Amino acid sequence: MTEPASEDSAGLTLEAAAAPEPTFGYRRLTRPKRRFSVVTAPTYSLWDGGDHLLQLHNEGYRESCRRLYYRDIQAITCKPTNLRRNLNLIFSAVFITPMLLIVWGAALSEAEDILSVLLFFGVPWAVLVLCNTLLGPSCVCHVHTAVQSEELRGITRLRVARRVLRAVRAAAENVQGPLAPEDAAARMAEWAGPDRGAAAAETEPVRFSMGPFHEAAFWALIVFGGVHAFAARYPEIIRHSILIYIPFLAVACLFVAALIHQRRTTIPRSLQRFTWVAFIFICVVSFVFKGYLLFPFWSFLNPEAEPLDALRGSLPASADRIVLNSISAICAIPLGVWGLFSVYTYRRSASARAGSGPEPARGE
Amino acid sequence: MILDPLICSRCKTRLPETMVNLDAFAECPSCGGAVGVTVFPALFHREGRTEGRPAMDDESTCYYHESKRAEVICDGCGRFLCRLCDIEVRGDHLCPTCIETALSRKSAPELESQYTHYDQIALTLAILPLVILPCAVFITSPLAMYYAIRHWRTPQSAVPRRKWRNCLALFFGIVGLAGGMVMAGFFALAMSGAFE
Repeated sequence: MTEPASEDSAGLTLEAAAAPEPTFGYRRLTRPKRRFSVVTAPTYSLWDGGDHLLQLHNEGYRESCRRLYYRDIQAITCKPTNLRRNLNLIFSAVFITPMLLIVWGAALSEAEDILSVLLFFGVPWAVLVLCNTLLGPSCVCHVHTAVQSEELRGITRLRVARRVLRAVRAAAENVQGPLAPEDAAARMAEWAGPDRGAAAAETEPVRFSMGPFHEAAFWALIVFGGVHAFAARYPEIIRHSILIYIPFLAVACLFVAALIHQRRTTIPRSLQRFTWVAFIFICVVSFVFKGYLLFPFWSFLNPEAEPLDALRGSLPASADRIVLNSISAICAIPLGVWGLFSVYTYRRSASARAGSGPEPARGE
Repeated sequence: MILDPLICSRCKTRLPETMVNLDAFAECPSCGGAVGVTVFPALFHREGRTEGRPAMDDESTCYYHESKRAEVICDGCGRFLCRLCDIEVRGDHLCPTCIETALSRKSAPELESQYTHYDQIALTLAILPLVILPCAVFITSPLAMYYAIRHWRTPQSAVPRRKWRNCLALFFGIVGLAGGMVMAGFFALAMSGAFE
């Protein structure tokens, strides 16, 4: 314990007051990572300050910092997120949708320079998706203390997280002492008792569901594919696409209901993901290839046309319609069959578990 | 908000306790994502710092809590402090008043949490008018030079920060001012008909 200061009774010692420059060294752990918000794009970086972890937040001309002392750190977690997948979806929506629209419009007007359109949109999309994929899986890291759970916003990728958390773990163990996995597991089981597990857990109650909406949606998808197959085989019977709009609307509504229903249920993650895939497929096929969005584009090219003529004119020619209906049928029917197979497999396993004993609820 | 470290952030299922403190990342049993959980002895410490021990009759008491026993002496002002009032900073034991005073006087860099990048402001003032609005160089260049010189020694970050921005701001400020004066002289001569 140092001697109390006598000259300056209302502050630190005079030596510290005369040297405002920081005198301790910092070791950089991450490069500045930009996170986008509504207005600004602040950057975050992590530094090792010897006895604490420093998180810098730079926004414009201001910098703020948060110090997390290693002696206070109770836990460090790194958990997966869907950032990489979501970014790929956004890039695809931003680049592929206008590219398909313009290519389709160019094909309607028998334009020849489609390759340049494909390159103009396709190359940036490919570069962005490739870079995003090569950066590796995305994750979120938190440092937990007694009073806070601080997100390390400078880390969004697993590759960086491994390196940084190795250094942070070594520094914290240097201060607090290591904890072997077996000892940690035993103490965690004791720490996360029934009271703390019920009070501190983030999980919401999970409902048991046999997937009735999923079954109906996949059956509707098979019917949807069947209607398209019929339209491809007998195009003269189904002249107006309005007769295909109705099955599409029914399928879309059922899938939306299934997607809403499947949240916080016992339906397996694989089936939930497959439901999303099927729903996106329906949207892509029906909206992009069926000319629903081409209507305003065609109207722009033919401003003198009547609206109904514009609607008919924006639809693809009969030969193209046969091809599109065939593609829709070829894709929709197997998706529906596989979806039904997944639903019935889940139901069989759920019934078997129910017969063998009470199903353990998730979160315990 | 304090999060439960054993909850997977993607699928919100509870992770088994056997997944903590492993050398490598493990897979979440529900969603398959890579998960790493490391816990430290501080998590299991029951004894907290929020309570000070009550003082007996013959014991020294805390300056701020008369019923609490004094544990340490403040290294800044010499007052007696209980466990609740003791704030340890870089090995020094300080009271909340000394902390607040040090922050107001900016004499404790290890306690600072907000900085302004004056060097970046100076550089922006020096470069931007040269690109966008050259006629404003007579205002922005002196301002840039002032910021660069006035805040040369001001701490502008919690981590060491090089002075190249200040140097560039001075350079572009001088160049901008000199160039503006040359152009002003040229226009003055042209207006006076010296080139006819």
